[in-house]
Amino acid sequence: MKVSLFALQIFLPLPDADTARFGLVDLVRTAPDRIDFQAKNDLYSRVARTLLPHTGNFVMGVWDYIEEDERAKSEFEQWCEGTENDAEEAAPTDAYRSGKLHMFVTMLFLMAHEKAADRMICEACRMPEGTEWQKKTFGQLVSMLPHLNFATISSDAIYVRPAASGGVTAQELQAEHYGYLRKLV
Amino acid sequence: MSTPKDPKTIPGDTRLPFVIAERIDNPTYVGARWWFEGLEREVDGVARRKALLGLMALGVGIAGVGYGISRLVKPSTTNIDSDALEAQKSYGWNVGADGAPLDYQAAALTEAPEAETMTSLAARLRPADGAFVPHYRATLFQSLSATPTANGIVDTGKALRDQMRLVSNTETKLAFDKGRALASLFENDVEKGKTVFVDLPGPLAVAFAAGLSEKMEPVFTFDGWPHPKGVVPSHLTLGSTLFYLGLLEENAKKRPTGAPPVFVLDRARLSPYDEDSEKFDNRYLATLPNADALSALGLKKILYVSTDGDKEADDLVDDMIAFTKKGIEVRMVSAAEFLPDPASTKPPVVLAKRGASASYESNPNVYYGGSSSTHYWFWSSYGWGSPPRPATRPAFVSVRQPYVPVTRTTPFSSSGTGTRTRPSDFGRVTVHTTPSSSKPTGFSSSGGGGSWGRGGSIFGSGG
Repeated sequence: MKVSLFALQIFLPLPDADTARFGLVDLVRTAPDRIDFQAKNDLYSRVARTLLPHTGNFVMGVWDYIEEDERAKSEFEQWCEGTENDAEEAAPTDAYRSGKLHMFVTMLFLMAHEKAADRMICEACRMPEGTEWQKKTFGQLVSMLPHLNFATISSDAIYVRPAASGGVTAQELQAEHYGYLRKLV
Repeated sequence: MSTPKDPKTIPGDTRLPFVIAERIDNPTYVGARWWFEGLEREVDGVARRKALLGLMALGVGIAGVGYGISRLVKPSTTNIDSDALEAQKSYGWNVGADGAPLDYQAAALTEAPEAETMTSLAARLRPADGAFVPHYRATLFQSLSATPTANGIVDTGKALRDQMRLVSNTETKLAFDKGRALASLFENDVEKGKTVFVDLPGPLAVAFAAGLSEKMEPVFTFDGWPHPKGVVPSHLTLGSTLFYLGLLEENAKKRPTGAPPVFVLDRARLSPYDEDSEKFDNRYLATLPNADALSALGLKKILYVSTDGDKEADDLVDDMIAFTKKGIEVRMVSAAEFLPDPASTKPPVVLAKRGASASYESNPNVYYGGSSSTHYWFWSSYGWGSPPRPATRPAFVSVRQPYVPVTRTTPFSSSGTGTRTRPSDFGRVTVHTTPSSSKPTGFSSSGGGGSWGRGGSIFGSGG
């Protein structure tokens, strides 16, 4: 099966975005292990409702849409495994010495190529040049998620950091690891 | 790809499609990754079926597979070359695929429509305004009550009715909301002389038109029948029509007399034919009023709603040029320019009851340009009058040159004759029969590639 990948990662400053973090952590933690299409739409509706009031606080982020099958699969795997490995290895943040902290949410969708969800995302990603890295653009992309037809999505993932206290430190953000991030205006 | 180690060990209802593949929960991270095994199996299943057909062609017999390749293994077969729709009218909607199920690909609800609703559909959707009736095509709706004309064939219309399901999902709901958003731009009645052509994949076109039906009278132009192996997934269009029927009828009662028409086309009528001999070529060409007929109806302005807003469908190029020459103004808008407003949180609006216990609902937060502040910019973009309210230019709508139909050669070009050309291998099939039975044993389609012949998806559209 040929697939496309849509990846969306958004960084928000803490503690301003703590309410978003609490909401997202709760949503992910309580999402069932087995889930149907309608419940998927409901889950991402709640994710959108939690995130969108904080659009003004979307300070950094990245989105990517990959149509090439092999690359889409490989990038999905890298995102997931990288995050899951990071979750095992990351040391707790020293809240008193870390400076400004950020949270992030990462959402990944591996979609059957040219099927309903893929087409909807493809349309959403067609945007005028110069608007790619705007907070409003990211808000618009988030607002599309509840409308995806999950019957045409092969795999999806959502990660939130931090789950409890701490966050991504200013030092971490300056490292090469996060070099791909774009500042949102 | 990572998959659950053993899905059977995951607790919960095993019929639910998405299964957890990985979950993390520690102070640093919380996350979850799900996997929908069935989707991969379904798509791979199609590939396997194609591979089996390859083996058949090499002479490896497999009982029960009898579509296009049947003539390779049954030398006594008689082949009848025919227009696809004519073949269906003669031998039944599912000619050559008796017993094969319609594939809804999870697009449908589990609800089945009532039999009486289906057999009366063609009459119920006939336009109330007599002037529009000549332009209404009931072909698709008639498939539900048609009896084959060839002798000795059972009532296959019942077989179709038995398989029909109501079609409604997130895509059709959004299309419906977009139609309502367009309707809301007309704060009062739509002025005389204006019409809309909705040319979207069938189920979405129906939903969009249903959203517009408060203010405009839908004139359906679906001119093909469904088939279990159809290139055009017309059964989804039919299912969407049956879903919105109650609302369409409700709005017809409320609509002002003399409301202008919205012509509804299935963009998938030109769906790609990908040289897959399993497919039944039920494609057809658009049937719209010509320039003279539009003028006779007093229509002077057309808004053409397309999926991408880039260009008209290949079979409409000559029509659009003829409209322009006749002085009829044509504008084109992309359905994608109507978007939900992320900042707007108005609750869903209940519009009407649907059956005994359900209702038609609409999300009122869908706007032109994706925001209530940009909504009325539509009027500035499309020049159909002055914005009745102030508006700002939407950032998400590409700045486009005004649509001007331009002559381009397509497989359907009239070449100056004024009559649209239908390629000889378009919408035609070869029905295979044996001397011992008047019932067809299979079919093959003669469609080729060409510029309209690639791609495709559940609500797919052609070029």
